[in-house]
Amino acid sequence: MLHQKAYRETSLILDVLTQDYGRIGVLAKGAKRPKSPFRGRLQPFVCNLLNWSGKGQLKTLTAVDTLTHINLQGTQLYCGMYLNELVVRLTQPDDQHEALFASYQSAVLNLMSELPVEVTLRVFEKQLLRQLGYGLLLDVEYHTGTPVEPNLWYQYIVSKGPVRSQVVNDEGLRIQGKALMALEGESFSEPDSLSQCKYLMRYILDVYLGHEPLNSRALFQTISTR
Amino acid sequence: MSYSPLIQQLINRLCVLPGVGPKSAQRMAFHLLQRDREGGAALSVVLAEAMDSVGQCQQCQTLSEADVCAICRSPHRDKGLMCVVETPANIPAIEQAAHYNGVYFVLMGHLSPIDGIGPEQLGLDKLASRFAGDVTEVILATNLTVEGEATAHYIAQLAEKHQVKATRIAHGVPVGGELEYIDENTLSLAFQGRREL
Repeated sequence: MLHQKAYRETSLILDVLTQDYGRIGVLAKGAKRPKSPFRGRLQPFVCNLLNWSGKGQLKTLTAVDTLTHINLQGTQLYCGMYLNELVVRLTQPDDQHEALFASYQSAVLNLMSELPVEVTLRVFEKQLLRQLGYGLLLDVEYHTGTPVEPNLWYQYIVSKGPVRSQVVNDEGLRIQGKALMALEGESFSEPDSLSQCKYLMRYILDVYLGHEPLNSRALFQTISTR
Repeated sequence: MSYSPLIQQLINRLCVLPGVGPKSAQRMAFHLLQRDREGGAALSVVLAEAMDSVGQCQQCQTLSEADVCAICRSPHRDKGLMCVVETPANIPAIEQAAHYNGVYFVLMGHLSPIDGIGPEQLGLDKLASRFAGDVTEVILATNLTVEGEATAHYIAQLAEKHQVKATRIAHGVPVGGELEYIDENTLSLAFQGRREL
């Protein structure tokens, strides 16, 4: 479940990420009635088994069975909202991305675990981009194809990849080799690499998101500055 | 079937009401015209007046035609206790049910980044300025949805910064509820929020 909005008096229109059909819109009729069987099961993040009918853009929900109950609190909740906004903004309805469902599910479960939330977010962002066809080049230098060296500095250029700093000056974002390697291997041992990757992902995502900023990110910023 | 222009206009306008479609609107229009002209005229007067003069309370943001609503003005209300709700409709519900003697703050919505509603859109800076005043405890009575929880958490952080005690309303088994018929989410919340007797 990614998002829900009210429709008429008692119904909801759901934005759902499915395993086999991509992101779809589903109408849950009467979901807000006190005795609806859907009640309490259609909140964001929850993993459900859904039955639906209809062939058009908007399906009609016929049955729900909850598989995984997700309870995010505080910062985890903001992170979850960020994930959902990212998915809604970057994917097209009915586009199938095979592995995206698994990536999303493990990201939500990781948010509930002890793992630092930043790591979960970076890994998900990387996987999301790969599944959308915007996969990042992280292991080799763009021009020469030589493996990335941990202690060298690179300029990351969005449509290309890491370029040795001497070659290009202003274009792209400056990042150290070991940060690229950490993102590639999805294991962040140094806080410095993690924060470099945060700026890298923000830089790259901004290109694909266009002019409108992510609202949940703005929410984070106001919280951290308070 | 076409009606005279004025009747058609009336029917179309009645359709703005929630849950009213063309059929019910037609029934309402004919009822007013045929059987209750007086009531219809009174409705039109009060409707125009309400649309014109009802605004928001300067202190709690609820709908009110006075600058400060009756609850905020009342000398019998405890101004140190504040209850934060999402919509004005929540106030009568709480007034009826709970023996609550504090004041309210109406957010007129909840945080929902996907829909573009952030802290600024909810007037949370106004709430922060209330925290800086004489409020000592804030009761977070937002809905038990993901957005409501996020909003409650955000306000709790805001309250902490101003050294205001923040409490969240309890969630769990409804009165008369039998455990085997309660959905698993509610039951798990009821267990998390258990208290000593």
